[in-house]
Amino acid sequence: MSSNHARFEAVAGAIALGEASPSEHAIFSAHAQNCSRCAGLERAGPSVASFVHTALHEETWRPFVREAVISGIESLHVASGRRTALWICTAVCVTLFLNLVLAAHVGLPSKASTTSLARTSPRQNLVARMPQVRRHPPRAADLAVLRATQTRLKPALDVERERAFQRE
Amino acid sequence: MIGQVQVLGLDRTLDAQYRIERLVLEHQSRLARYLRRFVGDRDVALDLTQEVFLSAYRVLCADPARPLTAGWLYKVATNRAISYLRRRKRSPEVATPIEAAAPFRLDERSAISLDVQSALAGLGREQLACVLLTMYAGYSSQEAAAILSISPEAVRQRVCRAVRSMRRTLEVPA
Repeated sequence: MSSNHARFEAVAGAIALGEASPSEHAIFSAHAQNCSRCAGLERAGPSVASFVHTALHEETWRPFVREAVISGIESLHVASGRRTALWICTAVCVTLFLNLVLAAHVGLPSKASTTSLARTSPRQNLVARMPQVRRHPPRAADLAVLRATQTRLKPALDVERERAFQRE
Repeated sequence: MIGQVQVLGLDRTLDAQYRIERLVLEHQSRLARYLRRFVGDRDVALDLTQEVFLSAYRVLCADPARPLTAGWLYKVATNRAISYLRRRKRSPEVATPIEAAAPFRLDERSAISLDVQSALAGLGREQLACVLLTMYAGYSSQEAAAILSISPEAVRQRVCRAVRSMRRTLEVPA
């Protein structure tokens, strides 16, 4: 029943808007004769619509929002510029912070940090900053050359010593 | 490359501004009056109109190829007005309708205009949207249905119920 009545309400709405066909007019007229809620709607709809339409034509208000819209657009640009600048600053700060953290904990030895440099002597600082030279064990070939040199030099040294002894 | 992108961005912004200015000049009066009838307050209607055009500007900046029709503007305006009325109902201190307190303005002493405004004030938000879009803005029930994202039958039903309510206020003879 209610869905059936909703269908008639849709027809009454169409009549009010001037969109109903003659057959719809006839169907609604037949229904309105037996329905207390719909009685008189067929004439009231167009009257109400004409009232609203007349009110529209009697409107004297001339709104002007162009300036407000343009200033709104400008403030939008300013806000977006500020947001971009804030993002760039944040990104730079985060990058700097990460670089400092990495340099302090990974890249340099702890002795070379600023605080340890302030506490130690200049010589210690220099030693700490000097690159570490890795000492390799002597190779076999180098040892052989050394021994040969020593054996060659040894008799000459002995002769020198004997001569000195004789002079004395 | 960066310069090219900047120039393209500037072009896009200028194009959007030009199109918005045209939209404003073409639709500002009707849209503001529509919103004024909707919310019952001139100042709020002006604010909402400005917001609608700023929304349109954002859309045009994001997608310059998008065609913005009057229907799109009315859709955004209707949604904004409905959410404003909902907000006002939830918290009355948000904004007191000035014209509800003092409805008589010098340029609006027409009896019909005032009667229509008081009749509209008695309608619910959905009925108000349907009545204003069809009877005031001049859209058909099909177009109003597309704007409100409902069926044309629903629009006609709401118009019928609104007429039933308004005829008492407007004293339309049966």
